[in-house]
Amino acid sequence: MTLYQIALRNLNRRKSKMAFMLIGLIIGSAAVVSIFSIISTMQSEISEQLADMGANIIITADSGELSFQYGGITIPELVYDAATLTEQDLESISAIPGSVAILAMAPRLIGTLEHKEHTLVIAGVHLPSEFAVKPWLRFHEDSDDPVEDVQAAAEDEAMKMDYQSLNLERVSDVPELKENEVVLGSATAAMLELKAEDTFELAGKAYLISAVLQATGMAEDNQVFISLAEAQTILGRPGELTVIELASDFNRIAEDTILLQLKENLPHASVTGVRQAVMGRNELLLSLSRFGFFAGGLIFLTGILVVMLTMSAAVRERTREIGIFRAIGFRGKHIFIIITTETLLISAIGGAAGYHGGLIAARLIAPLLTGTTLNSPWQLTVFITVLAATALTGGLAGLFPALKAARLDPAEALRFI
Amino acid sequence: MTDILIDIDDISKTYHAGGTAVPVLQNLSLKIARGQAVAVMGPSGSGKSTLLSIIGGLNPPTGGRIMIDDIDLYALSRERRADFRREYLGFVFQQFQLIPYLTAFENVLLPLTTTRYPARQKREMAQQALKRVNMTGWADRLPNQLSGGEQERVAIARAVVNEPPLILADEPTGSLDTRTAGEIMELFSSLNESGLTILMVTHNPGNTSYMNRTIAMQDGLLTEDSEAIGVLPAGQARPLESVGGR
Repeated sequence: MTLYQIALRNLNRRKSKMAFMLIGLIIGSAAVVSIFSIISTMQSEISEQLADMGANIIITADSGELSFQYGGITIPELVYDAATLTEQDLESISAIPGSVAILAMAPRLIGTLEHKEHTLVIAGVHLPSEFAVKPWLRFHEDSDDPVEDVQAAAEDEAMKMDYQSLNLERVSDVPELKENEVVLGSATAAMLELKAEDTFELAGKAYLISAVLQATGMAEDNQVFISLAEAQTILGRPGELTVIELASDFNRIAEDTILLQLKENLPHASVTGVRQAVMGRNELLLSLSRFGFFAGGLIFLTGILVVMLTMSAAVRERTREIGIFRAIGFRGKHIFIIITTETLLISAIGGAAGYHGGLIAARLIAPLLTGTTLNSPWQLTVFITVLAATALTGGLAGLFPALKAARLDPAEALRFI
Repeated sequence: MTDILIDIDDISKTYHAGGTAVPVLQNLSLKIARGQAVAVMGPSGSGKSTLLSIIGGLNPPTGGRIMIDDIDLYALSRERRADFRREYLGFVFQQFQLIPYLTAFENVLLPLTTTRYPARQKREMAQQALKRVNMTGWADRLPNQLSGGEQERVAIARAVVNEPPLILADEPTGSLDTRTAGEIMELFSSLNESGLTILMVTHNPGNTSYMNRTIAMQDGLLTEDSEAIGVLPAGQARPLESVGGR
């Protein structure tokens, strides 16, 4: 018989009351874990998106308010079919003092054309530049060996360009589109039931499909890529551009400096730093994070009160028992250890269950809140942290009742007998 | 080592209730020799239980001194008094007061929980104590699975498990039927014969026949002593003639 066993037996006896405290702790810790899981997953998603981006400056015509999805990030003020940028602007960009930091420049003309019963989005591009600023673009390659496909995908993933140090070697194998060649986005190819090497008629002219892109889950899946000059011809918009994307090395020249120079040289255009747009969203997330801390604090405060009230009531109910313990030679510290062990055990169980409950709740709730599926993995360090935090909180909350029990006057306690 | 186990010297105890001082014990002196079995009798409110709790180191007196085995009990700190209780005293409470969520065996083991004996020795001591009260067959039962007499036996086993020199019992037969009470008193008697000193508060005059000394109290004073061993101030106590319980 040990003090630990006495605590355990008592918990077993007071199942319903301890269950009340346990549920309080589980709800509290689960709420905190789910809030922070959602926030941290969203933050890491943003970080990944930032890291995956090749382009970090978007230049559009300064008109309209339609938003544009870029790499999963919403960039405001890009308007389709409202091209007022021209190829002259490319020269203006090259003329800024900070142009040495511009590693890739991808001009694009976007328009629509009817094809049979479909309306196709035509993107006139310089394909190597397009691949440079969109590191997620890959050609779809048929393979008989699924293992090779997986390995190739893994290698591609490993080669993804880093936002801070662009690896332009990847695009050296990407050919420029010839006048009669197109590349189809995966969704467009599927919709038109076409594959690489097929021919394809557009605006009365036959084109060879030189490649199909791998699915990206983004706007590129629904586009038909064609050379910029050819697009300007078939869309009837010679010299025009819709958007210019730049991949710049901000380590060489500061982002703000380049943005300022671009704005000076392109007064008619809207110049947006992608990172600033992303960071704006991150600011929102930080606010949410602060709210999470506040809510978490409130929840934990409630948890402390629940533990304190439950354990105080338990100590009151056990006055007689404590009196007996004291009479047969238990020291105050022995009583303190029994009560504290009970509190710590319940708190640790609450923390462990709350952590797992919080993870499950985050996975269920996140799609409703963010529209995306969150994958918060089980992490030992986080689990231990939650366990320690809950045990510490419970321990602190149980401190007062435990001290009260330890200091209980045995003569007073035995008056109840 | 002296023959006197308990030496109570001029103790007083006053409670304060609502600003009023209520004297419960008044200048009480008493010596109890090692190996005696003493019944303390007297009406309710006479101070019997207070005397027992003071001797048990649970309730400091307002004045006076108590020596047990030459140790000044209240010169010890609160926590050291707990150690003293564990080593020197065994308590038998009214209504048995077993811990309801522990088995009979675990209840008996309880006073040994905070001792440094090896676990195996603790178990052997608990088994021995249960054997002493003829309860070995009930070791795994919870208190609510035992009769009143059986619970009392377990409570006595718990009191003697650490082999203390002194047993303090407060109305141990108060809630038992006559036959069972007789059996319990036989048990106390046999414990006393084995060398234990017993101090028992009781209302039952029949229990005094199992004791070898009876003292009576009234209004916080020691009024009668069946065996005045020359330690009481003259005129404070007289040889016991008739001690009335409630």
